Amino acid sequence: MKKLRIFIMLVIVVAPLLGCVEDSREIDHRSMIVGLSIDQGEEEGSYAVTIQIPLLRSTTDEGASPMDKEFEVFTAEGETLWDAIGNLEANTPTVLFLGHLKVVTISEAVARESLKEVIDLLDRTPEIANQIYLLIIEEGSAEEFIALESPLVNLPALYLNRFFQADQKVGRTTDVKLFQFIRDMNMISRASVIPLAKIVEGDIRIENMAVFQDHRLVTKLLDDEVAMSRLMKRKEVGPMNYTIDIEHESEALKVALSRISLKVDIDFEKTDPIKYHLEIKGGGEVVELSTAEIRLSKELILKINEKMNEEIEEELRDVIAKMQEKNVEPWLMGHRIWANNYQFFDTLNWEETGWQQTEFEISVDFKVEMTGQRALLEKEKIGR
Amino acid sequence: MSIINGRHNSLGDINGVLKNLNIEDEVDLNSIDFKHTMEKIFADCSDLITRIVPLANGEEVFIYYFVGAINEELLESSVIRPLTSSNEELELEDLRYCIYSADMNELKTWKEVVNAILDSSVICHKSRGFPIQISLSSQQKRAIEEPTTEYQVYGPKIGFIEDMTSNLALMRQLIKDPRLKTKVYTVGTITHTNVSVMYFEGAAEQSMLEELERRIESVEIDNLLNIGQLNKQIVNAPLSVFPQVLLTERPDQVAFALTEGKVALFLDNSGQATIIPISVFDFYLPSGDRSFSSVWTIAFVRALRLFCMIIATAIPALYVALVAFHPELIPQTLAFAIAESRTQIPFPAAAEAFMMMLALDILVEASIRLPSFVGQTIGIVGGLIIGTAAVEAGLVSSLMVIVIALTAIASFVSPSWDFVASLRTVRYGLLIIAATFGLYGFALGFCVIFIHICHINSFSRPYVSPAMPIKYEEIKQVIQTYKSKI
Amino acid sequence: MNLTPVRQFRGIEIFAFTFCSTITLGVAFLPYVADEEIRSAWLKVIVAVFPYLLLAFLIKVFCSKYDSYDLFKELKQSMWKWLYAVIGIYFLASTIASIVWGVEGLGLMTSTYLLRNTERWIPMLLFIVVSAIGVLYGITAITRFVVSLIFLEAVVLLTIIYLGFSDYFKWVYIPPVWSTDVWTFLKSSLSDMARYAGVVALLGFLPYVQKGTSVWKPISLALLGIMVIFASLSIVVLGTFGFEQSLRLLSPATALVQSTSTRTGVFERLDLYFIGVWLIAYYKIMIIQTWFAVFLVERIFSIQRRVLLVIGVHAFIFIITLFTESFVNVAWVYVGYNQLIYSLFVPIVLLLYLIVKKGAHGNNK
Repeated sequence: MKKLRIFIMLVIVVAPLLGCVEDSREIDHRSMIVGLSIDQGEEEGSYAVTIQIPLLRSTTDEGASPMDKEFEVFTAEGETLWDAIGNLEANTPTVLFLGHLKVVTISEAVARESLKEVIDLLDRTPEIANQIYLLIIEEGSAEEFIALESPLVNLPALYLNRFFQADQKVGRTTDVKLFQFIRDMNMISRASVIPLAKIVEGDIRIENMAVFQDHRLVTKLLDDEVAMSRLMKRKEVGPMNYTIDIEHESEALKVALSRISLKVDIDFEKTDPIKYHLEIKGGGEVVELSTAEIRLSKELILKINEKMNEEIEEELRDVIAKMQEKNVEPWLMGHRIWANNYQFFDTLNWEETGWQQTEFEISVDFKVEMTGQRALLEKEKIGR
Repeated sequence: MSIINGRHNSLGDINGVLKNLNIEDEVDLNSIDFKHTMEKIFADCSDLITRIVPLANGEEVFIYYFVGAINEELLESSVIRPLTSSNEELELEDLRYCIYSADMNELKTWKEVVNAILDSSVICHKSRGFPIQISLSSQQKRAIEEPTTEYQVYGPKIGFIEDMTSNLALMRQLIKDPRLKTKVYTVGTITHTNVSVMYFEGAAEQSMLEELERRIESVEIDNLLNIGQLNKQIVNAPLSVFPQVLLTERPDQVAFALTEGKVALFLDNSGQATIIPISVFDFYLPSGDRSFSSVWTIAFVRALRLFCMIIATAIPALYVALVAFHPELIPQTLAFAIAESRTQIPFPAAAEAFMMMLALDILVEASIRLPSFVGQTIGIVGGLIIGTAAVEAGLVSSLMVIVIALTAIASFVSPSWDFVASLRTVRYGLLIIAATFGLYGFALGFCVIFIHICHINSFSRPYVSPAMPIKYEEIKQVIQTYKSKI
Repeated sequence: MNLTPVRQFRGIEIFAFTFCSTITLGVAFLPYVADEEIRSAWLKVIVAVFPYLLLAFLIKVFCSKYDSYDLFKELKQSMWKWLYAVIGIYFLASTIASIVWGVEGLGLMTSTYLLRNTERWIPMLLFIVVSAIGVLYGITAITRFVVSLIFLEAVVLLTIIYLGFSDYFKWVYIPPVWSTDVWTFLKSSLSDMARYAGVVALLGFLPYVQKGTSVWKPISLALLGIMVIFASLSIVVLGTFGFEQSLRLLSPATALVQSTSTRTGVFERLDLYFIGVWLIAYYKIMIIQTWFAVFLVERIFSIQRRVLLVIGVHAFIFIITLFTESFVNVAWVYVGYNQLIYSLFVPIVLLLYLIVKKGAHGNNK
């Protein structure tokens, strides 16, 4: 018994010595890729992959000035993405490590052709978690974008990561993780969205969304359309900002509303073509009036409410029309019918004409809920 | 067992000694023969004193004792003076009539004589009579002081000393109840050390007492000088890395344990008592906790200690597993910081951790052996100067220093030094397996340690008790949610 | 080990033993492992538990009729020797097959997520050695291990619930979809029953249970608990990934943790920690099943050399694992069906036989 135990102990001790520490690689012996961008290569059908690697400086290194560049980018081309990445390894002294990759930027050109290969590679590599964010670069190459230094956060990739993690920025764009993209692509209408970014006068600007169908970029959602799209898909949206023009006491007035949150109730009639009833409810806060002279009276509030109702309905109709025109439906509307009313769905011919012919009846009920620090009540001054 | 005992029974016992010297079992009645035999047995024992006291009737009384072991003043006043001043024939015929002592015995065999004199007694012998043993012992003992290995904020400031009878008396002071029992055994063929088993009748399990008695009686050892030697012989799994008895210097700790049905072992010449049976949680429940007036404080402190146990064993291994195998688990900015701090380090993280842990343990060992003022210097030199210098020289990364320092501090949160030493060993094991297999090895290492803990029993008590088998009452006690009965 | 077991365990131990004997593999690979999968896999998981509840009920009846709680002992006494041996060997072979299946699964997880470059046999060897240590310590240590670490399963459950209510979850993927007829549904459920197959190790555990302990409550509760975890995991996975993607994921639970954990800030990625916890939980199933295999060998061949047996069984498992093809292989489907037969049908038949026999005898008396 004792001898056997000693034998077991020996096995435990000796087994490691047989050299199974192949997976052990020190953190400083890995080239931590923090950003990855994918462009079209110069040859037809090839890819150009650019990686961003932070420069490691010893903490005791006195010579480094804060103005030094914090990262380096490398580019390589290959017939497949993995080839390109393999070629990149020739450029770096240590192994490439994808574990800390957070954002993948893809050029619009690649997105217009097909994302299939890109998505498959990312999905298959276990180091790359499902949690990476996708980003499409408009106007210009993704390589340029990833090499851009931002004065705010020293690593561009970190900039993007933080941008998406700051939840409250909705309205202009929303984050899309790899698995969300794949999931939506698997649904009945095979449509999904990815946020867009571009370089404007040397600065990063992330706004608007690209709409994909069958892994191809078909159209873009601009400005407030993003919020409406989000409303349709998630049945709620918020907080968002909105500015309206109204006329009050024969004066043109701009009212800025903030912290708007909207909810929608979606119902449909089993007609052919299908008819949806969208019942939107929501509220927001008045944060700015173009003149301070005017008191925020009940009357004005009602006016704002009414105007907002109109605007929201219009925005929504616009975005629906845009999607119907391209025959792409990224909001799971078809999928909902498909899952719950399969027989009815069968009669719709959704993919060819069903979606394009769908009719919408929209009712909006918006209420201003707060007016900032200023009291809303119509107080009257009495006396001097 | 032989591994632990070393050379057990190699020196033989008194019977063997007497046999070697061809000494009969019966004592010599003639005082001169007796003296010769004594000289033969205790040859080359310069501290054996032989005094010859002439009596009024012309006879001589031989008095034997070890110098320093007895109270010589008492010897003078209660033995020698009465002997020399007595004139009565009857008294002189039987020495027991003229000696002023309550504790006297007639000894019939040589073995008894030898044992008696070694047990700090005085032997008086006169021809035609059996030798008489008179207890006049005055053993060397120190005063009762604050326990030095188990400091507490509150709680009594008394600790055990090396004298067993004083220790037992201390316990009697704490528990004034006739059901507090003690049984004495003699263990050790050379040292003849007294072992005292103390328990609270009705609380302690009878079967466990019987088992303990059986184990103590079957202990085979020459020299029982230290309570640890005994402990290793009576525990269930002596090869385990974890201690299965609780050593304490604190009478209050023992008193609490006794009333909970545990058993305490005292050893002559040992300043600690052993508490059995125990579970792994007992190492984290010092009696001083009960001084807190809030239940929540106690619960928090105890939870903190258990948490520290995990930190103390796991952190270096986890750090190595993360840095060398799975850097993707480290938050991104921290990963950069670690990578930057490691750029100039020539060693892999595992080697770094090994070096630092070794350095730490060397420091600990060194500062234990040294007097406290030098010990402090060592601490400062080792901790601050070498640590900083090692970082600056590029031998270890600054993060590793933090990790190891945290480990060291967390490990000393455990109130039991015995247990800290075990955790230290386990830490190395975990580090090795994590350095070779990463998180996978770490998880499996945890499994091995844990199933080993599950396997051990301290007597009949499972080591993981009361977590398994679940005993809600005991768990309640651990958190100490007693309700007042008012 | 002595062949007459020390009867020491109570209800909580039965519960933990049942629970841990089968859950972890399911947690890693749910909801889709078999070939034929329908959209609403969570329904199948729920349906699949009922036959096992029947088994639990029969065990209860058996225990009320036979004081020893010992199926194998009673079988030996009331059956031809050769038949007993055949049944025993069948059990043994099936148990070892399912252990090998599990170890292959573990190897797959390890080489995908944890040790990508190391040759697969090395971590497997380590695992088997560690398992051997556990089994050497015997059923008492195993049971204590299982019970005191039952909170790990609780951690898994809570993680699932917590993740279930994340932003990404959508009910629209959940509603049952009847695109198949009842027959196909049931056939497809068969493969899901194999998830509960580990429960069969209970037959070896029961002889160690204290006389008079109620067995129905803990076993059925544990089965229902497993069912709830399986079903909720399936639902959460479906709701987060949708059917098509879940179907393709190697380990949906891992992917789930991967995709939803980033906002905590403290840990960058929880998925590998999750796998770590899962490994420990998986270790339980491994020691339970190999212990059962050793138990069977002891019973069938009446061998007392425990240490040799444990090492022999482990070495055997290791060698088989080395020579079997990996998890992706189709042959495993048959192992799955066999699991069903040996963990469900055979025990039911045997239990019925013994119960009926005792019933007849009882009347005669």
